[in-house]
Amino acid sequence: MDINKDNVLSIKDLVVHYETLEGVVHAVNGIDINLGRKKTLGLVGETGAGKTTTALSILRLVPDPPGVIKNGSIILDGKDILSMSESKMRSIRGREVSMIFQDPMTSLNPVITVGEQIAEVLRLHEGVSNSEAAKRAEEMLEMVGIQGERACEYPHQFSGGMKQRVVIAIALACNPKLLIADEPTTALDVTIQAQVLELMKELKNKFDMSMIMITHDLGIVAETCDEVSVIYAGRIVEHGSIREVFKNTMHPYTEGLFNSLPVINNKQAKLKPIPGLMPDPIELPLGCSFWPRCPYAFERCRQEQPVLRSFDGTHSTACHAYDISDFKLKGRC
Amino acid sequence: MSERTAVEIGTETVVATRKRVSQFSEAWSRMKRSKSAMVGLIIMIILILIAIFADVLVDYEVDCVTPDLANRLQVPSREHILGTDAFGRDVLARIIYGTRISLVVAFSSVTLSLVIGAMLGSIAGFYGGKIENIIMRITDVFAAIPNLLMAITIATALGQSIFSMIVAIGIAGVPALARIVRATVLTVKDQDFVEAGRALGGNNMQIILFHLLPNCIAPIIVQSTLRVAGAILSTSSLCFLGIGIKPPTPEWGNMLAGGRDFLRTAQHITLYPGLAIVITILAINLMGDGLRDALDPKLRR
Amino acid sequence: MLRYIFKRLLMLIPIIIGASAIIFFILNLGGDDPVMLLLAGTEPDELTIELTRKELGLDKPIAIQFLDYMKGLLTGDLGTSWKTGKPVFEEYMMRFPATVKLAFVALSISVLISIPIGIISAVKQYSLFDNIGMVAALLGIAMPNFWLGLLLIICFSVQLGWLPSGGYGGLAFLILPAITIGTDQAALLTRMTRSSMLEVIRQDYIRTARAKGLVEKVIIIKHGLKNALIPIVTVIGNQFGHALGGAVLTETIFSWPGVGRFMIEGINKHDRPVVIGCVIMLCIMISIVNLGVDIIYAFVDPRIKTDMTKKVLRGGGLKCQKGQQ
Repeated sequence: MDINKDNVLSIKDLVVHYETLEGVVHAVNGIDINLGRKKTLGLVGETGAGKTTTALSILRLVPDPPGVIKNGSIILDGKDILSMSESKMRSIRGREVSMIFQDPMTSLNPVITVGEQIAEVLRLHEGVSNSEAAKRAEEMLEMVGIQGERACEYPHQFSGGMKQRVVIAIALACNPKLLIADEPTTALDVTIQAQVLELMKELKNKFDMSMIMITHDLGIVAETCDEVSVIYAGRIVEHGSIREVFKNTMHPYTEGLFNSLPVINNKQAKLKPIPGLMPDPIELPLGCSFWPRCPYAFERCRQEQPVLRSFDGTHSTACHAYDISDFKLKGRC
Repeated sequence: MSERTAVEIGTETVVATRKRVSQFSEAWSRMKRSKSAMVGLIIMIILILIAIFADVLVDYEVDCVTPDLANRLQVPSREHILGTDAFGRDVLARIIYGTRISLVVAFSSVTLSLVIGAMLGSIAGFYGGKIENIIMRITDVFAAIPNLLMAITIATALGQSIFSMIVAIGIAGVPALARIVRATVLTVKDQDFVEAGRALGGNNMQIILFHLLPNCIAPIIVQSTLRVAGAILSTSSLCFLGIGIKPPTPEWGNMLAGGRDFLRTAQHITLYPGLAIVITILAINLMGDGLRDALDPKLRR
Repeated sequence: MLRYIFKRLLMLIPIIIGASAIIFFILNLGGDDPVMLLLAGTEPDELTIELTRKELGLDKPIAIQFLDYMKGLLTGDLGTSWKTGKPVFEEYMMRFPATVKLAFVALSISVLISIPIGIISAVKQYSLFDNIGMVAALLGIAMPNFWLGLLLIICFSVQLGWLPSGGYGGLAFLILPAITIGTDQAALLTRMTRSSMLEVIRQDYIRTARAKGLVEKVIIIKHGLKNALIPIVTVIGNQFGHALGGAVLTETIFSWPGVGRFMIEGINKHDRPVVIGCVIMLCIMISIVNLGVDIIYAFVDPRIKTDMTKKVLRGGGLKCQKGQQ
């Protein structure tokens, strides 16, 4: 299989459950991801679709209990993540792969200076001396647009956007091959959002990194990603390059996502949300998880789970409708 | 108020009551899940039964009070399961009777604290401003005096009786309860249903009684339960120090005081009443913890 | 900083006035004539009673008595013991060192036990260690500390004969009372440490620390503990303040000549100035300790430190600077 050389990340058939008192939560139900070097993948889906769990699995940070990785393989830069020892895993976190989380207000330790929070990663993974680490920490701060002298300040002295920059500085300090960003701008003001995204793009190019951008915002995907995977109820329902998925949407859910975006020009138009709610991950429906909300659903959808199938180029989708020849989505309105 | 409004209020109350009832049954089933809380509850029930039926179990005059000097300081035997004290009285019988006294004082004093504290706290929280300031300042001064000290002082002033202990421990417990009630009222006050209550024409007193307080119940219940444990401790402390109920009335604390002179020869007098205190407080705390976890679903599993 | 301390000390005044007023008037509520109680057992005649009454100022209305007392306070006079005739302050200070010794040793025992156990219980939540630890803590809370003291005496003094059962002296006399107070404090402190740590472990910044690849031990101590200690320090301060005010029950059982026993003797002997004096000193102790805790906060929690630094700088007329130094 063409796994390792070209791809920085290969996930195969990942299944993750949370075993809780109320029942088993099927968070991730068979996800495949292949991410090439220096590429950015957008992981799109509603809250609860399984995006964060997938990301945490790559770092093996799924809270256990109650989370269990039931199945699958994750190969990061040729290394088998799931069978690695914990100490080996620790040397990978922060060094080969880094993750930044959604809420910058709570992601930083309030009683440690920002400079130290960066320096400790450097000391840990690159074994440099205290003074060397401090110096490089200041350089990282400058790189994310913060004055180096502020390294001795504490997180509460920074605004939300600047805090997120610090988080980015920490994540990139050791030049990881893969950066996972879990909704990095959701908690920020719109104007700051743009700045932070710009910064991330710039750094991605500078560091030659691959990136996974988890978001529910298609606009951000369009801005920053090369390819996109659409996740629904723990499965990938559509995948392809930005052009393929945006211009030639194939899955009804993806179409629904695009349609639910308000159209600025047409003030008369009504909002078109996707009716219904995402299914309860403890009791997923049989068959296709999306069928209760799908305008195109038919009998087979209720009974059989569709498999992800390739179409043109890198475009793939999981939908029974395409077995009926000549099926085309109604198109975006 | 028009008829329509009255019906609306009625409906709202019914709906709210039903919701509250189902909330309580939910909380009850959550509490049932905790083994320790259930153990605490069962022990409490047993203790309450013992307190109620103390007269049936033991004869007050004969077993608890009348000295039997021929039999003094007997170690536990078949005749006296837990031994006898310095006056020949049966220790077990006195412990059983002491249950009644401890529980009566504890529950009464907490009720007193609750009534006064809830009144002060809800008025302070509801009206805010100067009134709140004054009430809380005064409460702070009372709170600056440690619990036990306050109780000792009041009990000394009022003489040695069950009544004075209830008042002493009750008043000593007011500041803490007033604080909790005020804090809860403050969080609940701004919520929408208060506006709704006003819109339906209720006056301030009605709002406090029927809308605010019922929603503050959960933390109040938890605090009160824990305060009962504190009250038992205070009761026995006061009696141990010689302030409060004097012998021959059997109370766990004064039994321990009586045992002090015989630490060498009759340790059972010290051991068993103390054990009674421990079991009681433990049971209450277990129940209180269980209540807290059951009533606040947001707490971690 | 100094201004902050000064302000806090100022707040003491209404509390002292209020607390002493409360105790003053409550003690007065008792129906018995204080003079009769004082002279009880000596069968005094009318003249003695009147003289005593005048001497102690008890012939004046109660409000005047209170004002006189307050006036005395302004000059640092805590009144004179009705029983011994000596100044209350002097007698208090004679006994204070004993209480301080006890409080310190008890504090050390308490902290040494509870913090490690609390941390380990939190980190290994639901494990056997955690369960045993929490049961022990619950038992500790349920046990009246005077009973524990008595049990310790039975065990170590009576049965084993290792330690004296009471009195004042060197280490041997200190151990049992200190353990009695210390374990009582530790029971609560362990539970608080555990819940504080649990709170902290759940925080996002711990997740960030894990994502950096740090070792668990470093995460718990460097990232977790510093945050968890903040609320715990309040509780420790509170307990210490109370202990400084005199652990009434423990000092009674072990015949430890501290201020707690002094106060109880005052109450039993109906010696009002002694009681009020002790209450006032207690309030002062607790307030000073709480103030100390808040100052420690300022050094430990950078959020407060910078806030205070800003206040100081602004107060001094300097512009608030970004960054420090």
